[in-house]
Amino acid sequence: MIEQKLTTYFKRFNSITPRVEFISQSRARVSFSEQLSPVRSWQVKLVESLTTGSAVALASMLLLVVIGGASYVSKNTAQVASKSGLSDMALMDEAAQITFNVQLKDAEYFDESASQVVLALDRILADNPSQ
Amino acid sequence: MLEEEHLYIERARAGDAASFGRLYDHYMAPIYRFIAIKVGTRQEAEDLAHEVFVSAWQKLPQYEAQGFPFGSWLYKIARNRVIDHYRTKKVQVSIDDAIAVDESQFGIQHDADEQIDTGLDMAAVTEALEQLTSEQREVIRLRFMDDLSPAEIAKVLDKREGTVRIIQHRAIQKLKSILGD
Repeated sequence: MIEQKLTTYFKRFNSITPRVEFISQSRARVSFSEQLSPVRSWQVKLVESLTTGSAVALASMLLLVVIGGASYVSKNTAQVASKSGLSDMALMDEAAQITFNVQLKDAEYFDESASQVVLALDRILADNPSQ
Repeated sequence: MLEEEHLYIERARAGDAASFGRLYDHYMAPIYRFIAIKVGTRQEAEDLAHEVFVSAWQKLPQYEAQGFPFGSWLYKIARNRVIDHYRTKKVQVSIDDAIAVDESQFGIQHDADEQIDTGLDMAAVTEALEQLTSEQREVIRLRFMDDLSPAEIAKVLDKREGTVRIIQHRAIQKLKSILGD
C-alpha cells in the first residue's frame, strides 16, 4: 500500500521533461564533441583518480624521498670526511701534530745554529787572539 | 532499458555518434528529471544534464557493462555531477535532500483523481519523506521515481545490493509508521 502511494507520489515528477529546443541543441553539441581515445581516457581516469588523499600521499612519499636522500648524502659525506681525515677529531689531532713538528724543527734549527755559532766564534778567536 | 542497447553501446564505443544519439534520446529525460529534482531550477538542470552526456560520450571507451544497464552508469555520472555542482557553489545542502524542486518552473501536474483513489495526501507524504535520512530518501527516490532495481541503485550509490535492500526496508517501515499505513 505504501509502495503504491510512493509510486503515485513520484509519478507527478514525470511531467518534468527537458525543453525540445534544449534537447536539439544539446544533442548536436554532444555528437560534435570529440570522444576520448582509450589512451587519453586512461590519462583522464588517472588524473581524476588523483584526489586530495592521493595527492597528500604522493606529497608524503616525495617528502620521505627527499629526507632519505638528504640523510644518505649527509652520511656519505661524513664517511668521506672521516676517511680523508676531515673529521673534527682528525683535524684537531693533525693541528696538534703540526705544532709539535714545528716545535721539533725549531729545536733542531736552534741546536744546529748554536753549534755553528760556537764554531764561528772559535774561528774568530783563533784568527784574532788579541780579542 | 533500450532494446538492443548493447549494440548501440558497442557502436558508440567505436565512435558512432548516431548510436550514442539513440542512447541520448532514451536516457535524457530520466537523467534530466533526476538532476532537476536535486538542483531545483531549469537552467541548472539543463547545464548539468548536458554535461552528463558529454562526459558519458567522452568516457564511453572505458565503460564496462559488468551486468548492469547503461542507465545505472549515467545515473552515477549524474549524481557525481550534482555533487560537484554543490561543491563548486559551496552550498551547505545535502544533495540527497530532494523534493526541493520548484514545481511552477517545471509545470508539475497533479492527478487529482488518482490521489483520491489511493487516498494520497501529497503534503503528508512530502512531510514523511523529509523525516527520512538523506540516504533513505535517495534510495526511495531511485526506487519509486526512477524505477531502478536494488542492484542498479547499489551501482549508482557504490553500495552493496543487500545494504540497499536494508535501507529501503527501513525507509518503508518508517514511512508506514509516519503515514499510519
